[in-house]
Amino acid sequence: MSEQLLQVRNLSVSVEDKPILHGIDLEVRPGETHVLMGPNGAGKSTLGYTIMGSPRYEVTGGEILFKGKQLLEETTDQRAKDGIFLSFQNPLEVPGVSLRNFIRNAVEQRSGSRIKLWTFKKELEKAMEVLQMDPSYGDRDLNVGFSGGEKKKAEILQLLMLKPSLAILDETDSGLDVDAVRTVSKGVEEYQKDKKGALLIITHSTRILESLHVDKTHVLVNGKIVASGDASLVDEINEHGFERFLEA
Amino acid sequence: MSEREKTYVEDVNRSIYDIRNEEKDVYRIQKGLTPAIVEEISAKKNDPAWMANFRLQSLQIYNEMEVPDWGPSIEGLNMEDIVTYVKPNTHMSAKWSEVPEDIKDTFEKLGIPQAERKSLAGVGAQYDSELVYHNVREEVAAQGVVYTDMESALNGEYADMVRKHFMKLVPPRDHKFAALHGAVWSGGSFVYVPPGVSVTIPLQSYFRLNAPGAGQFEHTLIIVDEGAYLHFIEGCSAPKYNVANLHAGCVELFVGKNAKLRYSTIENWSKNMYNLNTKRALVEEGGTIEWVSGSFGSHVSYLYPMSVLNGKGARAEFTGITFAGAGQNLDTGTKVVHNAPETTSYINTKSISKDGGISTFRSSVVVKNSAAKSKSAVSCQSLMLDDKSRSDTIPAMDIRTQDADIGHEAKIGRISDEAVFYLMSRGISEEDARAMIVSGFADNVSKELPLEYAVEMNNLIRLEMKGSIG
Amino acid sequence: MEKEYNMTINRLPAKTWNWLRMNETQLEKIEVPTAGGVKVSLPEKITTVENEGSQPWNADFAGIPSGMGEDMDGLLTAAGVKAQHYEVSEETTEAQPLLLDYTYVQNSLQAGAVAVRARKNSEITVIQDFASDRETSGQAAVSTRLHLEEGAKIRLIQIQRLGNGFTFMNDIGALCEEKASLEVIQLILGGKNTYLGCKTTLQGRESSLNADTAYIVGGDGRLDMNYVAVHEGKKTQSNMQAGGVLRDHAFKLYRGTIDFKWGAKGAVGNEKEDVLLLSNDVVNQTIPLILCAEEDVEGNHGATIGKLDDELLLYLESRGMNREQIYEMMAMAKVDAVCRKIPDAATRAKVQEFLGRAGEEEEAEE
Repeated sequence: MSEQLLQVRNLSVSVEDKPILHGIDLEVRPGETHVLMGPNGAGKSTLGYTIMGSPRYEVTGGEILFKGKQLLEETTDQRAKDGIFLSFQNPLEVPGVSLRNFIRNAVEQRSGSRIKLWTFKKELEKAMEVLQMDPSYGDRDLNVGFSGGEKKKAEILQLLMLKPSLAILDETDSGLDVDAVRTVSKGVEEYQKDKKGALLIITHSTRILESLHVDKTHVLVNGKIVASGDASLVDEINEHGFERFLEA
Repeated sequence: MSEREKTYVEDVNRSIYDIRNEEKDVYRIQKGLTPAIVEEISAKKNDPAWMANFRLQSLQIYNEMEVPDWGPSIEGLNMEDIVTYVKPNTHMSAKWSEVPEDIKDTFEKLGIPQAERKSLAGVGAQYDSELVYHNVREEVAAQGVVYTDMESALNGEYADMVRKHFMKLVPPRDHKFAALHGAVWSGGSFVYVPPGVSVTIPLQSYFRLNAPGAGQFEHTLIIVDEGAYLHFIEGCSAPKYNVANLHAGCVELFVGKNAKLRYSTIENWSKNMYNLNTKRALVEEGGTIEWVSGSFGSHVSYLYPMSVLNGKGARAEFTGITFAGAGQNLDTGTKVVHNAPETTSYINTKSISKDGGISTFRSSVVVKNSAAKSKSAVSCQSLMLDDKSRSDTIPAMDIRTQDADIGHEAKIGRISDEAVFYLMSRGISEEDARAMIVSGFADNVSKELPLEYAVEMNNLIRLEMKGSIG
Repeated sequence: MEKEYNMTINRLPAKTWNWLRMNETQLEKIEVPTAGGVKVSLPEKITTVENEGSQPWNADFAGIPSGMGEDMDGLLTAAGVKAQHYEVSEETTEAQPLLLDYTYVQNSLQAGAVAVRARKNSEITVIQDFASDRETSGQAAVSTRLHLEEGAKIRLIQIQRLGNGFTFMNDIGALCEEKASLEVIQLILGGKNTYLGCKTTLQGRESSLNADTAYIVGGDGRLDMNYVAVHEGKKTQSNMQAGGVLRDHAFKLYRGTIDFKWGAKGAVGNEKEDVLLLSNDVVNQTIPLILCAEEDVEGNHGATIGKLDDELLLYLESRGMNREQIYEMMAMAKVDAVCRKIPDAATRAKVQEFLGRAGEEEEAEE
């Protein structure tokens, strides 16, 4: 496939008048896995939130195209319907709304039609099994009282159910123990296997990448992409850290 | 369908609440309030002598008492303009087929007969000042449960019981509008549940005020005897008129030893209504009163269901939600008096203010010296949906025993932008995201209601949230 | 001049049921006091300002509302009190506290008033020590007004160690301009009837209030309080904490109001009360209001009233203390927690002395 899924062109972003990203270029094709690495505070999450359309982030220059369409004018929910998914580092707690009902609502919004309760239930159970989640989680209020690991699993569960064409995973592996990382990785593999969905993985560690096929790696430092390469770049950073890029 | 499915319903059409029926051949007493008018009501209703007298005494008290100097303004309410008694041109019936077409049609649209068939043990339907329908399932009646209109109770087998309890818990001196109620009350229900009887499906009374410029003053008296259980549901609505309507009902609940009563209300009066309602429960040893209260309608509300915990180990729970939109000033809350040892009260309320609406949470928790080892926990949360609205929290506590455990927490805030963004990132529109968060906020009440009512409540919230994004 | 004066004080900013008797407090037939009764230790960088008019306050203080309300000013006027006005100049930090010693004797009948203006970016600590011998009676009233200009900081410390027959009226009104911060530390340890009002208007953006009050009320003492934080400016913050112990036949009424005015975007107000009841004959009333006319604010109130947590009790009992000792210890802990916030060692020592624990202060320091 040659057409681009996501095109970020010369993108600059500010938060509360403070410039964070300076002229980012990034292209992702359908089904590809990209890794965005960089030290803390480099602006990695800013890129994810900007693609998703958070009102906190002000685009001061450049453009984003998704499936060839200008994205910046679209509301966040429209972007989600177009097929973008962002897993949050700290998923918000929404009291009174059950995880199951929420996902069903979101799936229906995405597809634009009602989904049969039975079909939905089956599919949700299957996805929860992949993630080793107890079905009772479906009855619990969205993210309320979830542990860090449970929140991350609930995010991946939504990824599997919503089947986006681009998933941005923001520090999905941070704060998880080895087993939890393995489970989350399994979920991510499942997502790619089924749908040929593209991935943009934002991380400052590399644990989640061990089981994934990485197509491209980008290094973000001080709001700029200072290096891009293939999967071997991940290994290099694993060994030497970001120092080489910081000096540059 | 599981209970959790309740968010999946079609939006209601506000217009069903707004059905206005033309007044046909009704008996309408003249406007205002004089001894002659009160006597005329007595005569029309065939009051026993004590009641005729009681009305006149109440009227005198009404004339002596001042309007409250706290709470929302009731300046727009002129008693001289209120018609206290409007009798629909029909007799009370136990068959819907005998209820006049237009009235039946209104209740059909409000879903009352349907609900009765599906999930209720008995239904009373009041239209303006009188009940037009009253029926209770045979098997419930066979258990000895009495569910009748107040007028029949007053002259029937239970006349003594009624007389012994009527306005003893809420005496006319309680406040000006209690006195008004004592003078002009009409309609309402009497329920008696004998000892040990558990009524497993709820009874419901629905109050509909159709006549413009009228008042509705129904009296509900429920006695749940020792070890018995009852769930009573009350629904209220009215079409909107340009003139003020008044609702000054009175609810007196007597919960016997180890008995339990759940009293649920979804109030959706039209926004020209002054809702000055008084509700009170007296709970004996080991008994429980549970209030579930949703306040959505009316122009001005003063509503504070009160629990008097009079016996050892008595218990009160209050779960409430108030949603104040444009033009509404809803002053709601609860009162609890701990008057015996080891009594407990749990109060959990939510309030929402939107479009210039004012919502006030007002409460009092009194723990008397006689209430050692009592426990009370109050939690109230308020949500401000814009900066045109107002939300006040006025909780009072008066604790007079050392050996009590009293906790209180109040929070006020707004819908978090991050939460809205999070939901939108999953493809949910901003309007839906906000409605979803507000419905979730109201979850404390909706999960306490039977499914149909939870659905209705969520619909009301969705309706209020429509077009809430500027 | 009339000899007796009727006052309505400590009005709740929003009324509720009258039968609760919390809406306001009526003081009837209050004897009109005479002016005076304070000894001042004036630090170097504090200047005194002439009180020009015939009114208790200079013009720039007259408009600052107080917690007890206008009737308190009426009492001052009736008593012919003219406030002493002090000022700290711009960009000045005075490390030494302005010490105001109010020492009363048997049958004192006195009233005083003090106003402090902290100019831009200045900093000052004001300590008011209200004291009399333990077995004395009398009546005293002190009114305090504070005006904090941009970036100014005032720390107001009040120690009340009055005799067990004293009626004391203590009224505070403060105005905070942009980024000003006011800290109020109060220890109410003695006296019979105490009426206390404290209203802070957070007018300027990012101004803040921190109030910490600890009290011990015993005998047939009454403590009647009215705290109000008015949030007018954006991103203003208030923190009001009150905690204490009621013994014997004590009566306490705590009114605490966070009032978010329209336009106070980003404001945060927190209020907390924690009361231990050490007798079955106490009356403990609490009414914490949150009034809100702004969407973008955060207000919280929490209260715990009553007895100690069972688990905590068990834990302490298992270490060999009896219940009475435990309650006394917890009661003192509440006072000590606030006392520790007093920067002045001599004042801390006076508190400990009053509590019958002379010398403990030094030990604690080591």
